[in-house]
Amino acid sequence: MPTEAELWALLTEVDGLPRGSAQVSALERVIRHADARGLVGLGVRARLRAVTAYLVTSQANQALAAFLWCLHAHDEHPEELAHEVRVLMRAFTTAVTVPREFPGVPLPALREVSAEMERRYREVGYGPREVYETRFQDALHLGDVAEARTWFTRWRSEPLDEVSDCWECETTDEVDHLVGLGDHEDAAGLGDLLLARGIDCPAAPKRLLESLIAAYLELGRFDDAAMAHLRSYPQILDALSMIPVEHVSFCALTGNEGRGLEIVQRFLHTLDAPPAPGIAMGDAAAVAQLLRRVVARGGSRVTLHRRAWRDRPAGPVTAEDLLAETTDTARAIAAAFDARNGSTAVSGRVERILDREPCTDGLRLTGG
Amino acid sequence: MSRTFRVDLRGVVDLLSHHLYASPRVYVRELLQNGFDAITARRAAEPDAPARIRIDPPEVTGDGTLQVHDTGIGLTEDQVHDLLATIGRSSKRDELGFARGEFLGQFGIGLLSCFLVADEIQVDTLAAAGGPGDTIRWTGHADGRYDLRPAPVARREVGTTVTLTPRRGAEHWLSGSTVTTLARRYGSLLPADIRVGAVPVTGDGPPWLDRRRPSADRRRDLCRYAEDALGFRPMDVVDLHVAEAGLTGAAFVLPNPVNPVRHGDHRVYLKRMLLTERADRLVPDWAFFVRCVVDCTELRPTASREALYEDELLEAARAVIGDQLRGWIVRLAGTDPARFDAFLGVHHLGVKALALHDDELLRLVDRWWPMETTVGSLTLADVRTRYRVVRYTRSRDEYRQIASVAAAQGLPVVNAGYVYDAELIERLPAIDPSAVVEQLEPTELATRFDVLDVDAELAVRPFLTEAQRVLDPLGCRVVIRAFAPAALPAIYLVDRQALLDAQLLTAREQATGPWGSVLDALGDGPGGCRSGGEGGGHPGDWLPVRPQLVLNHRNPLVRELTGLAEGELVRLGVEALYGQALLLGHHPLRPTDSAVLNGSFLDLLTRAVSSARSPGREVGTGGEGEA
Repeated sequence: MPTEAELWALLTEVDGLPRGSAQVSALERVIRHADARGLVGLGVRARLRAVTAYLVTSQANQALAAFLWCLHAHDEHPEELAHEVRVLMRAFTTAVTVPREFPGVPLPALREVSAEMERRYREVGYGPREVYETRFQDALHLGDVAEARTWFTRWRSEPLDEVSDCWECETTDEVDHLVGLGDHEDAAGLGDLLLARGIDCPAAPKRLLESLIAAYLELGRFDDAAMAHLRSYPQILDALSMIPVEHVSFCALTGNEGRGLEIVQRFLHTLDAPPAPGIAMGDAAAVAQLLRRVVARGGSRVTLHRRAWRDRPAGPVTAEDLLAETTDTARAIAAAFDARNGSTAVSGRVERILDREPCTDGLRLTGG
Repeated sequence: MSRTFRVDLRGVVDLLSHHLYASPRVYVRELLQNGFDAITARRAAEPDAPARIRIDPPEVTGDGTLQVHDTGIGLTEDQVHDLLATIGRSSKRDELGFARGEFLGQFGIGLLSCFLVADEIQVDTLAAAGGPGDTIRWTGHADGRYDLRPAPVARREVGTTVTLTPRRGAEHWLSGSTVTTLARRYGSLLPADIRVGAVPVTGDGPPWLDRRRPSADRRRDLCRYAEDALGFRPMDVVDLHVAEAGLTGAAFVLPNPVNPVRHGDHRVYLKRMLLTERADRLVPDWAFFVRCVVDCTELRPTASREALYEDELLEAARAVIGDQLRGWIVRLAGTDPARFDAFLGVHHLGVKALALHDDELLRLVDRWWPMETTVGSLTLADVRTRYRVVRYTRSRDEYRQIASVAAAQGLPVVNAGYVYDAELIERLPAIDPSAVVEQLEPTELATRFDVLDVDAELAVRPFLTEAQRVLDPLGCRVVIRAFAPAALPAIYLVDRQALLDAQLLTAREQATGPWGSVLDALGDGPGGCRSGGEGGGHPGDWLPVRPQLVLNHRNPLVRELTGLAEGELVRLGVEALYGQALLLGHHPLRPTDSAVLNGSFLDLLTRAVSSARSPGREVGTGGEGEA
């Protein structure tokens, strides 16, 4: 049996492993041994690490179970886990994003989750910034823009604290939220500022650039949108477990359907095992948006290669068929969300994505 | 002579010296670039003009300054004004990058970069276009003041001399040894005669360009180059060419495994001048097993000239480089199996990462990569040929609990707990539609054991009931089967799904507030991913699959145990077998498991010792007294 030190070392090694089943097994091994020996601190650390590993391998229920185990362990052994409070509370910000993506979670539960987060943050002395952000995102999901704006303002006026990300990441979040609220001018302005600070780093803020694509397109800043796409797309790893929707959408809206198909082909298999219905919906809608353009350009017989999945053998699928499939998927999940929400906000959003006309045609993608 | 207009250089100097560069050392590169650009410009009109740059450090000049002489085209007075105007307008980094596109813009930015280390910069220049005696002198100061006048001493040769007076505290950047090191690092591939004092820093240009030599010699030279320049002896060298990017170079295959998550430090020259030693996006992610050295003409640098700008051309170049590396792998497998084997031994992770998406590479892994199996080390292709079905466990722990017993059944099982292996096995049908792959859950192994015949089954019933009562508190189910090897009394089998279910069950039991309904909602629908049908689970309910202790009826000790009447000894026996099975399968021991193991061991020992003390109860040694 491995010693405690070996188990901690194994946990460190996990970071060197690429995403996938080997990483998950290594974490499960640490968890099992830690539990058997009653090493609560190690169990917490390994589980918090596993939250993300499970989410990217589409095991949301295991991710949440791991997080809840930690929360419970913290309540049972507050002294022993005093040092883990910060990582635990940070993991909360990831965990609260999960229920929102599942239409089966009742609305009151969603509200109670953020209330519990608020209570726990207060108890351990953290500010409500992250809680407000959660409420902002919940409101945005429900289509209540006025409510979202209120929470956004409150979020922005709270100072950063121990559970916040670094300043740059938090500013990137701000850009992203501004895009979500439709304030494209403000989003682009803030993004420009951030880019001007660190523009020399070619590996710079990928997430920022991805958020800015939509804002730039809205504002007609097509060259900037192309720059944002070109600089952030190469930073996407093969192991991504979902469709890079910003990029697919960019291609659909700028007359770069060929490149869009290439991107969809690269990540097509992720449609089979999405991490959550909410993500499945967004991915399907983006793919459908692109395919609608492809078909409109006369490419309905264009084929993509699909890997085998469960009972479906590997083989080609036409743009036309995949368009129908993804459109149905996006609409079906949106309907489930609508039923839960008692509104048509989500399906409205999906329809807007599906119907969106290109902003420009034949935007050339050159660096200069 | 004072001019009618002046340009405020302070902002540019400030930008250049504080915000653009990571380190002052780039001033040497900027001076070399200026000198070389001037030579190139002059040679466009005068192909036979000399191509020399000499850097005299303070050790040579003797007056504390550093001087750079070039035989380039020189500047006229009007050009000096133009260049000042150009850079005076550049107040942002992007504009600087743009200004560099022009000869004068680059010259000015390069010159002002010297304020990283200098307080005063003096330029004496004689333009190729001007007549004799037209040498002009520009003197600039770090605070933005400058003036322009005829030089007191006329140059005899066309060209430029830049003189730097070091800033206090920056003298070490100008010392002969530092300048030699930096000039060599940045400029060693330039096609010009560059010296620091008398020491040459340039040689024969990029070592990969000379293609006339026999390939073995060339390879040897390139390997030697890698040892000098990169610090390792490569396993192999792959030539790189990307026409659109004007790129040539070589990829050196690392002799040791590297962390796939870390991206490589590649060395990039732009028109023969070193741009960076840390380019990380030059090759695709999977190609982490090479370090590249390339020279290019068309890729775009960032404003600081310390990295490549990410654009579509770089993306296209990366794709072509990926193709060339991939082509090399495929060729090597076809032509030199021994070397390919060695390569795979070191860099299988890179090849496997590529094989996740690339069918041809998957075929190579299938045919070449030996995997650990219960019937020895075999490639997946071997397993398929010999046994048709590829049966595998997804984790090393699962493999360890079943390996020896599966081997005894003659059941081939692949340990796919290593990085990417499970994913690759599951992708096998993509290259071979007839491939059958099956994930083996440990408890499925028990389904391959023989069940007892009805009489034997009935005979052991009372024992099993008792044994189950003993194991219930330990959360374990007991069954009895007959399997090889007979020497093994028991095996403990637990599925990953059982462990996961236990986690979910615990979470569900402990859930307070909203979390219960959240967990319920996550259990089904797309993304809920409770794969109920697989691995003997029970779809739709939350009853976990319990771990099993499988007793082996072929084992003599187990048979004895099943026939015992005494409850206490049955308890001890079952507990001891349970503990031993946990140890044999490398399972973690919970405190209750350890207690059971220790308790049964001590109790059995106590019994053995007390029976040794009362020989009357002893059975086997009866004959001894008679001997």
